[in-house]
Amino acid sequence: MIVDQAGEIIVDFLTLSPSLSKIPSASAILDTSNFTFQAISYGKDASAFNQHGHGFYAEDSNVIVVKSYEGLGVSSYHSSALASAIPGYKLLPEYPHPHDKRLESKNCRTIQSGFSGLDFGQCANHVIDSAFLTTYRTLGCFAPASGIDYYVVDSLDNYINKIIFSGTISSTYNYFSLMDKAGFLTFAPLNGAQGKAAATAGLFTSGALINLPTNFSSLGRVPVVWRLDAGDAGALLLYGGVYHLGLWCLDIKAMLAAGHTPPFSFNALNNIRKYRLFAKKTFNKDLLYINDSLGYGGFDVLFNNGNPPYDAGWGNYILYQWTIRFL
Amino acid sequence: MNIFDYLNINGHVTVHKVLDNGTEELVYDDHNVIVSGMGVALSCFFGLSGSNSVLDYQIDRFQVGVSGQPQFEVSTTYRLTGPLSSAQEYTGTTGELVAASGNQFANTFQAGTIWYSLIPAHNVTRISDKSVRYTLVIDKDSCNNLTRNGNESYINELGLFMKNPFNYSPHIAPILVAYKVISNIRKSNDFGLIVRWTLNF
Repeated sequence: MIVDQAGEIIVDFLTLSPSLSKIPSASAILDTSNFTFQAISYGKDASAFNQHGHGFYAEDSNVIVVKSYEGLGVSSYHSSALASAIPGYKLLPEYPHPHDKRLESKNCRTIQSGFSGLDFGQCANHVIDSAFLTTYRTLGCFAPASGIDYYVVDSLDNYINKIIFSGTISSTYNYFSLMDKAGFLTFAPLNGAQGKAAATAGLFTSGALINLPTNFSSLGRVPVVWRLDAGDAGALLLYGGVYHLGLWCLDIKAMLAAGHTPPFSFNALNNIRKYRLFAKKTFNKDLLYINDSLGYGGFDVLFNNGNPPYDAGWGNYILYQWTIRFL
Repeated sequence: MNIFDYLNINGHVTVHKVLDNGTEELVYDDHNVIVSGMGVALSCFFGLSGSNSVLDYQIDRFQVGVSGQPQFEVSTTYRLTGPLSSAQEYTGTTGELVAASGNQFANTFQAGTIWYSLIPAHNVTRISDKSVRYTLVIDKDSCNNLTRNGNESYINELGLFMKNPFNYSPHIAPILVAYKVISNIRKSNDFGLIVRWTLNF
């Protein structure tokens, strides 16, 4: 769904004063990159931020601990199983609405064991914020670049002896500093032709790309492509999966009001960028739903990437393409 | 669904006669057609493949035409049927319109001397978060006594153009983004016209 703010963004650039071009300090505002797609984000239902990997803080070890409700024979994690196990937990995300300004309007703050995380309405990346040096593994929703162990357990009591499957996941987004703490995956600063070349070559180390077809203008279609690598997919799944996707432009008014001036460079650790939702897509089934197959654990084979580049899942990724149609 | 379906992008046009005493008389009031050029230009903008200046994506000019037919009010229309063809037709000798020539992107790049009238920036007004109004002022000395093949002609079509989304250089190539066929108006120096054209995103 393309949300109402997309119309506001279009009207913003249609009504910018041409006189800005004569003011050296302000002319950079007229660059189209201030109004085009600049971020992707992942989301889920608000209640999930206190379930799954968010639901338990293991004080005595540096590990993500997640309770599975499917018994010992299942070596994948299904966020939907939790909804079946806990009365009243509906799992479903909010339905999309044209007035939406973020992926989930309800409070998405994780509150656990005396600490709490940040509420961005989406899957945040607490690990890069030093304020969450020890608690990030419960706050989620991504692993450190250096990797973190995870245990999927049958019971949280004495969990070390109740492990169904375990491993190590590491974040590609954090390895390349592509995501800020709010969970915004940045776009590579490339024009259309450069983006197409990078997408063709599979180069996603600078972020999401615009991958234009040759006759894009007559088709009126702008495909956005990005990668979700194994460790990031694994982390998102352990924290409850992916039920929303968000496509964002910059909120130039908010940044100017905050005293920032263009170019608004992306910096994962200290991102001055503020974003406005352009479009969102909501799913009623986890985009990361995987099953075991032929005796192989789905999670282990696909997402367990270890400390790069050692484990089975290393090199696996999901390639997303989101096409915005203008005709 | 495309962005037009989601956002219900639409437009509205009113045309008033303005008499010497300042009174306005409504002579036309109807919706417009957002044509495919708007989608082409927006895909160029968000596809990062045209100009990198916002100014090239602004609607800064319009055309007046004399050959409009209702059947041309469709989204596939990419040019006016009978646009005014010279600065003289736009401004006469004393008119206040600012005429400018350029190429045009009309399905494909069209080289040539095609005439437009510029919309001053102060006539572009944001009237809500999602709406912008273009006020086209055709003063009493502009677009008067038009003829084609020796016969009287009537203003009956209007078009809004985005400046140069494909970044053609050195001569720009505007693209039609909104179109309207109106009832015949025989323009003379007895009155001016004010067209208020609102686009809602």
